[in-house]
Amino acid sequence: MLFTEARFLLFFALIFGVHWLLRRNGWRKAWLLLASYAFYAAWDWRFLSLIAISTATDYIAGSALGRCKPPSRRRAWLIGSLAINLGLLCAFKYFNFFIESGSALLEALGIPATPFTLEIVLPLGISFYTFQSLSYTIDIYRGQIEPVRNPLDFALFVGFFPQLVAGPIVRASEFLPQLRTKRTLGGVPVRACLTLFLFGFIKKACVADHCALYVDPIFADPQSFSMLSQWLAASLYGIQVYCDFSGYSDMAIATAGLLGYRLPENFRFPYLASSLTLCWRRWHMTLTRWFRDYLYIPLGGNRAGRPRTYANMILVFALCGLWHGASWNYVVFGLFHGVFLVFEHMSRLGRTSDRWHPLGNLYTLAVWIVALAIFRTPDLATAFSMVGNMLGFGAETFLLAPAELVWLAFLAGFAVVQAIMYLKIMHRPMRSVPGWIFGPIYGASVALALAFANAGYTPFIYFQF
Amino acid sequence: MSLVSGPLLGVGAFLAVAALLQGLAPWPSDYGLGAKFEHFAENKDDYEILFFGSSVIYRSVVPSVVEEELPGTFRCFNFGNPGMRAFETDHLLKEALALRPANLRWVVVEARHWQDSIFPGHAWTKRAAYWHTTEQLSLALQSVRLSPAPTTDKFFMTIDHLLHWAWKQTAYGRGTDIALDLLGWEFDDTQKARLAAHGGYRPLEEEDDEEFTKRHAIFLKSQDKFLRGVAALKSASRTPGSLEGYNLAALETQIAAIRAAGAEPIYIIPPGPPGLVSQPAVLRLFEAGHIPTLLVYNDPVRYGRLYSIGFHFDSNHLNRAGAAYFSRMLGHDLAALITGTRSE
Repeated sequence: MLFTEARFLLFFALIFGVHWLLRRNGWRKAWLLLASYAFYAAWDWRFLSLIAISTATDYIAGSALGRCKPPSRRRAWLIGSLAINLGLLCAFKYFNFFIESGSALLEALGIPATPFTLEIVLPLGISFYTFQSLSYTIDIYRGQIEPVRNPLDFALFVGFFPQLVAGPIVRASEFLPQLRTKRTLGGVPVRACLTLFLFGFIKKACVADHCALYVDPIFADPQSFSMLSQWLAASLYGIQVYCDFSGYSDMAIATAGLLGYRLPENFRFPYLASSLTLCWRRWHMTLTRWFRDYLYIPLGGNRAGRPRTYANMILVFALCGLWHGASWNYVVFGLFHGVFLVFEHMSRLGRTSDRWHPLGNLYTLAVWIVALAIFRTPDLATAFSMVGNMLGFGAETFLLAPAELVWLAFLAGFAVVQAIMYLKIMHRPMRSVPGWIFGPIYGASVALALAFANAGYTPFIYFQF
Repeated sequence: MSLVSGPLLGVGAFLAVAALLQGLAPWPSDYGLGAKFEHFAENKDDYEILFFGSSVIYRSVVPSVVEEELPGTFRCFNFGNPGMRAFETDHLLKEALALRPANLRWVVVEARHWQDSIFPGHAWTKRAAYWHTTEQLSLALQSVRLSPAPTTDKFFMTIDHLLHWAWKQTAYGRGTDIALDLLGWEFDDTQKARLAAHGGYRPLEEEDDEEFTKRHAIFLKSQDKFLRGVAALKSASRTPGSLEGYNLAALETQIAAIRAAGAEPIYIIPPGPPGLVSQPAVLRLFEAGHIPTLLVYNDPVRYGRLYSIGFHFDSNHLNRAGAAYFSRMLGHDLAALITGTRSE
């Protein structure tokens, strides 16, 4: 079930209505948990068991960590939680990747290998809820939060449907306190939530899904297209992946907001950043902060000397790449970013302020787009060939076809809209208009958004991660 | 005040803009559907006979050949389109009649069951949505109600029809088509001219899509299967069947619409593949007087040549030569109807 589908609207209308009709907070939470599991089961009910295992593991580990004092036992509980959560993630997401890569390595060393792979379906959202659930146990281990007593609260924290399958990756300290107090309908910023949901819908259904029409054929066979076409495709893929994922996040935040819960921001105009460092601070913010807090800082962060800092940065970004999928393309994508971030750190380019700088922005976008070509291509050979073409080593033709100029105009239009939104030109007037003006504008916008949606079914890109 | 008026005005604005967009949405372009309608709208008074139906009609009826067989100077137009079932045919027919073609005399419609479900090949596409007007929705829901399908299936069929209706009403996903249409960027001008030149007919041999070449090759390789189907059709019962579950109201509405436009309906079972039409029910309709005129050609005993390998492109469709042969026969039968000399 997608946020952009008609059946989601029917589903949400039911969830919303019953949620606010229930008087007791406990009943509301039980209802939301039931709804969350139904939402997940609409994709595949069998994998609910994985969510249950992850939830039970971290609830038990968290409770045990809250009770026991000896550091060795605490460490044992933490390791147990990590082993089960990451074990499930590796088994379902990376098993074949490790086996195939291992056998390829053995064969390269001259040792014959017979790879044994399994037909495994990637459970929807496993990378997201595993990280979210893990963060709870780690935070308790660090003494940053207290374990939650009510298992219902914890189960809802892990399985809350708006963010269950594609984030934002919420921290226990952000969400669990909200469950303790009864939400009130009067406290819901309805207008803001509806607007955010509509923006998310437009990003996904009207922008991202249309970009796919141009992008997909070029990435399927980049060699048949000119150098500029490949740049255009990679740029439009940048728009597609941004609008797809940030659109999902917007709709998730809005949906949660209408139920009275606040989810963290996940994107803040990353394509207007003037360095790659800043871009990553504004792109999938809840994932980057997860890697920062639970991997980069424990590895020593930037306090253990320059060589160690750079090694940490590269390692963290390689793993961040791998988080996206079981393919060497993602690892190289992460390494590529890691190398540029190290370069920025060394040259101090990454320490620029939030102020927009045209050259910095151009450099950031160029690096980002090349990295996306690696990210989107099906294998490393195609990735290197496409990047080579984009850099002028191989593409037979240079120019764009006349029909592609429409897409170029689309790219320019997107940039203008981003700038308008970044400058918040429309924010204040829209916030202060009376309901009798906002209502018709919103109604007409919904009608236009539906008309300009791409009617073909396209799942969210980040569902595959 | 604004707590109520804001949302109400919002719903009003939504409905108004959706209605406007829906009105501006062009016809789907599948196999020249929109091009055919556009051509007809521009030349509606030129035609006396219209043909409606699926790909079997589209690929079998050559208007120029039919015209040669007719007395006087009748002109025909073939509205057939792949995958077109009864409700879509009915919508297209009513839209064509709404243009008030001044000289229309005969409307030849492929006799098919009024299906309760949406053709799977079109489901969740704009092709399935465009004909879901409120009137067609109401008729389709009648078919669902009459259907012998289990209640759960009927429930989901109802939901499907309602969602397609909502799709149509909101012009969902049609914005780009509307914009291109308003900008005058018609991509199928050639198609329109080509279809117009042949009265809406296009032989399968002229299709560029590789899928058709493959289909033809498969047919040539599996001729035995086709011949077994023909043999089964030869021995099939030709006794009229039951009308249980048949949407008579939809049929009656269609006949009334055709007559209101000053034309006479003729129903036809073309030389299609076995099992394509619910022939026993159609025969019963004719026998019971619900259908005024019925032409039946899916009889390999009587029309053996129409089922010869040499006249087929694939198991379901005639090739160019087969279509010419069939069209001559059809033209001859229509001539007999027009002059009142047809004996059965």
